[in-house]
Amino acid sequence: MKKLILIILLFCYMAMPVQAADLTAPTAPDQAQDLMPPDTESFGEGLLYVFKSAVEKLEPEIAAGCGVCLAVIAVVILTSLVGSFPGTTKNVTELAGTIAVACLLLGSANTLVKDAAATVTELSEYGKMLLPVMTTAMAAQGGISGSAAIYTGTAVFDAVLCGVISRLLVPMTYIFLAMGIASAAIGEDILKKLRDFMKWLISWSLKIVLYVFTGYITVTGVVSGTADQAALKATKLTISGAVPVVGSILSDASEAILVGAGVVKSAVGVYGLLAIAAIAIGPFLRIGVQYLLLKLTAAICGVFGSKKTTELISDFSGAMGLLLAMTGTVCLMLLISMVCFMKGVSG
Amino acid sequence: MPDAADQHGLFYEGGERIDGIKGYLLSIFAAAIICAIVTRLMGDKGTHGTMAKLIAGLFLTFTVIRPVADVKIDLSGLTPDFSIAADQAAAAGESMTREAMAKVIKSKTEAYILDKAVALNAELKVEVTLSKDDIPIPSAVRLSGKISPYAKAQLQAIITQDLGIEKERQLWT
Repeated sequence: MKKLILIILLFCYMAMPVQAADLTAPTAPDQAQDLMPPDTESFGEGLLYVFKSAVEKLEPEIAAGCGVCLAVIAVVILTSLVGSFPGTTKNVTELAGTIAVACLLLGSANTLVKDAAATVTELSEYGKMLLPVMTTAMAAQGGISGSAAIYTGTAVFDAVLCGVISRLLVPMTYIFLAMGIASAAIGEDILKKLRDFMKWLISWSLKIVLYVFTGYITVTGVVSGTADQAALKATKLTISGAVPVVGSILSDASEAILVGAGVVKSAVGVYGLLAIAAIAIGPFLRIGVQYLLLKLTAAICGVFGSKKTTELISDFSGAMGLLLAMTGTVCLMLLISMVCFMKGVSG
Repeated sequence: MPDAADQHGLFYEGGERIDGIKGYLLSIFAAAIICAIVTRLMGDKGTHGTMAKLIAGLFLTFTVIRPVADVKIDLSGLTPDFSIAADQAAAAGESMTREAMAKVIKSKTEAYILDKAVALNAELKVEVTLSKDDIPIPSAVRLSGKISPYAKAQLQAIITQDLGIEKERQLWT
């Protein structure tokens, strides 16, 4: 089977040297390159390789995360113990506990926020290099208006999303954490409400961008796909109306070019999909592990800790959830776009 | 095709807008903290507590509403750069296909003529010229080499009939 694929690829390479030489996916960034499989022909195997490589590198992150969470649990136990002594002021011990927990968690949260922001930028940068290649490959296969529409849509939404995340949602995550800490320290209801509003605003901004993008891609896919199909049918009619021998030559050439362009587009697309996955998976797993650990810590601290401290730990896990949503949205948007390019002109 | 950095135009130009929103959210955050501290210090009960809550509420409402009056929505220049880049990339793909197709058609047409020439015992060199249409079709041919008058007449007829290249566009040297 592999030999057959190789022969077909060789044939296509010989049939159209221009495409094979010019259309190659941009190389994945250095860090993602370490996770990339040596052979990117099979998407399923490649994805499994990327996942395995990323999980193997996760061990130190899990150890560090566990260390921070154990320290948090120790602080909560200590404040509960001190608070239970007669004569101690409950408010003071709670405030001290809140400050200690915030100090412990802010360091790792800050690193992960920066990690998420860098990943979003990296994904966006890679997407901007990959989009023109995929557009050219799809146009070479006959999807001229479809490819241009997907490119424009993805580039606009990517620029909007990347700009909003790096310049608005990331600072808003810090504000969300600050609100959470202030709410736990001061205990005012207004801060709690504003903190919840921040969380709602961030998650809905991401959801709305993704919904609108999916809607745009679906509608333009139908509209421009129909136009491309009509153009391809018109070309076939022109070819069939030509002088018999010329018609046969044109038909053979057109078929070979379209099949070859499809193979090249598929190869570029699979590499692109794997590169996007390789860029996103590392930070996604790191943040995901921290998210789960903090959820677990909040659940454990809920048993013996004060309500405010437990809420603060939940807020930190909520912030991790928001970071997951940010990286996930950008990654998903690029993946949807790539799949649309790979689907090409149907019918 | 514009490079990756050039395609980032949207929020480089619109950066002030985002910074404005960021500043707005920060001012709400600061106002909320001030309100929370003031109401906490004044206490919940009594006239002072009620007055403090009222003033804090008014202050927060003012902080939330005031910048909204200054909002100017300007969406000009949102997509043109991207659509131009998209059209360029699509045009590159289209011309790539056309070039590759022209190469295949040219070589296949030349091979067809040479095949017929060999069958007529002629040794020829053939160069086919294609039309500049969207679908490139053979429009002219230049033939050179040894060929008998009978074979030449036969081949001329074949080229006209099978490939649609008129005798006037068949250049024999």
